[in-house]
Amino acid sequence: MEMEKGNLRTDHLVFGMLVGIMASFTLSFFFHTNTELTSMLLIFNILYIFLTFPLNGELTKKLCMLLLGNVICLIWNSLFLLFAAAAAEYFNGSFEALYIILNPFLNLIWVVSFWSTSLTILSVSKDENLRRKHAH
Amino acid sequence: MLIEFLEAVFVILVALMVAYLVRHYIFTMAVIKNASKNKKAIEVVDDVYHPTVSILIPARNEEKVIRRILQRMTELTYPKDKLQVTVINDASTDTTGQIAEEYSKTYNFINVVHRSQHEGGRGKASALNAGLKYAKHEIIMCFDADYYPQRDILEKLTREFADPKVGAVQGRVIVLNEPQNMVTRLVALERIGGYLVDQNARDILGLIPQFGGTVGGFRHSLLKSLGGWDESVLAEDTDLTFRVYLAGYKIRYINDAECYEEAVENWRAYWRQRYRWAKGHMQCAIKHSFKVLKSSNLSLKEKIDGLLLLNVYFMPILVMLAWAVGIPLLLLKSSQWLAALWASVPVFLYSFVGNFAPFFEVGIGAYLDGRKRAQWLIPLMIFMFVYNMCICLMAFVDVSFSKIFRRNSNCWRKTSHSGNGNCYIVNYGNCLKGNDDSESDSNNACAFSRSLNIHPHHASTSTPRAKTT
Repeated sequence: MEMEKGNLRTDHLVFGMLVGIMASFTLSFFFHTNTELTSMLLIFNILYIFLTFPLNGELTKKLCMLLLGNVICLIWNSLFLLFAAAAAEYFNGSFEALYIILNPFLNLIWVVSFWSTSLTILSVSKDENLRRKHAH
Repeated sequence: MLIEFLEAVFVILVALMVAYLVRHYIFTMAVIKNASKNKKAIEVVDDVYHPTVSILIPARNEEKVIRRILQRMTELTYPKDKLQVTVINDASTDTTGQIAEEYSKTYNFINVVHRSQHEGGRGKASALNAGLKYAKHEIIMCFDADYYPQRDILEKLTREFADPKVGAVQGRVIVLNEPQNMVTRLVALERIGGYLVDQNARDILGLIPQFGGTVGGFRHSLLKSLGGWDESVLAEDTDLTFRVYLAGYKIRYINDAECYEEAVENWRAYWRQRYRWAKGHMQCAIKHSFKVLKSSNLSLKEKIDGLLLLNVYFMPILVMLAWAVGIPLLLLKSSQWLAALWASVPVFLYSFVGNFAPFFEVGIGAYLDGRKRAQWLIPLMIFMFVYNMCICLMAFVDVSFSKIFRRNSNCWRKTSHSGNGNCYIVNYGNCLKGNDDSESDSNNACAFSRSLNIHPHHASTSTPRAKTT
């Protein structure tokens, strides 16, 4: 199996870092009271930018996926926080400890799933490559 | 006081995890950067340097797969007058010996070493040492009985020995029976991360590519001077890797020298295999860590990489310890920095997923291989990590007890092979019958299932030629 793609896209990486920093600052400005959400957004943006932006592929696709990831992070955390608040009420605070411990792990499951799906979108299979070559 | 101590332990553990995370990230980026260079390198084929080669194939009860590799040996493009294939029938109780004898009678470059029940069954290292006594050529190559190499694999591997500093080489392992079930699919992903990214990066960065025990070889003179394989450790390959480096030689990893393996098909077999690897690796860590630090033959970056590589099987235990320390800390002491560190622990956890090929090595490896659907399975590798954690913990307890009580608990539990991989080799039946009516189908001989997306490399079938003696 020979490798089809190559070249580290440092230009995309630098651009992605700038966008990521701006997005993180903006979001943490609005949601600074929620530490879990802020730290999760930060972790997602760092992981996503450093692992996806250096790859070959359209910059617009990468930026759209980054934006989508941030939106999912907001929705996931808001829903999870509502659920945690309701559960804390019901279990008299003992759920809070469980929430603190499990929250990062549950978050990471969607982060990795989302990242691997983005890779699928970015990657061009060998079959597609062949089809493109034939089309040309 | 206790909280401060726990804090210090937690910070040290997180720092160790960060070291591995950074190392894996550097590896991944190095491979992405060099991907296009690798492609160009594949096109350059050196036909000049063809040393004589002895191939060792240890086999114990491998009747379901031995025919496949022996047939492949007859199809290698390497000059047959420079080739010696030795099958070590390690006290098999099935027909492995007879099948090997059949081939030995037909092809004069294939011979069989039979080990009695008394001599055999002591593990792969022992079988290889037995075979080494009969090897007479300059380069010693090893293949497991369930493997299926490319036809021109020897040309690709041996050309590196033109450099006198190279003491050993290692080729790439790809899973043959990947579509079989979920275990084989996940193992295939591990292999992609482990070879295409991890091993490849170590070669690109001039670190320590590891000899994987198969699909690789050594200079005969070097192997003799090192005393062959060490039978007292379970990971004889890792042990030899470090002995080669400590002796002042290098190992090269050749990504385009591909060989297909039959991966373990169920979790029980996975446990047995990985338990042996984990225990063997830990034995090597105890044996070599200090020598690596002291060695004058290793550069600083080789020393750092060597230590990280040697101790990689301790990491899942340390992650477990980080959880054990982190949870009470979080509950006892609420602080911002502790919460942030805790939030980052899963990132580190994911970076050791699988057989310590982190999720992004696997993902990027699959991406570089042009795989699409395989990446969807990456989140499932979390279960493999938890499984590996248990394996490593058991191995650690075993190694610790055997060290404390000074007893040898090495028990080689062989991985059994079902031969199910044969169905992924198109035209395999014709190949064995010697039907060479397949000129038009020649490219299908090694063409695997389309879902695997593997190129049919240099494949053709050939009729067994008559022995010319």
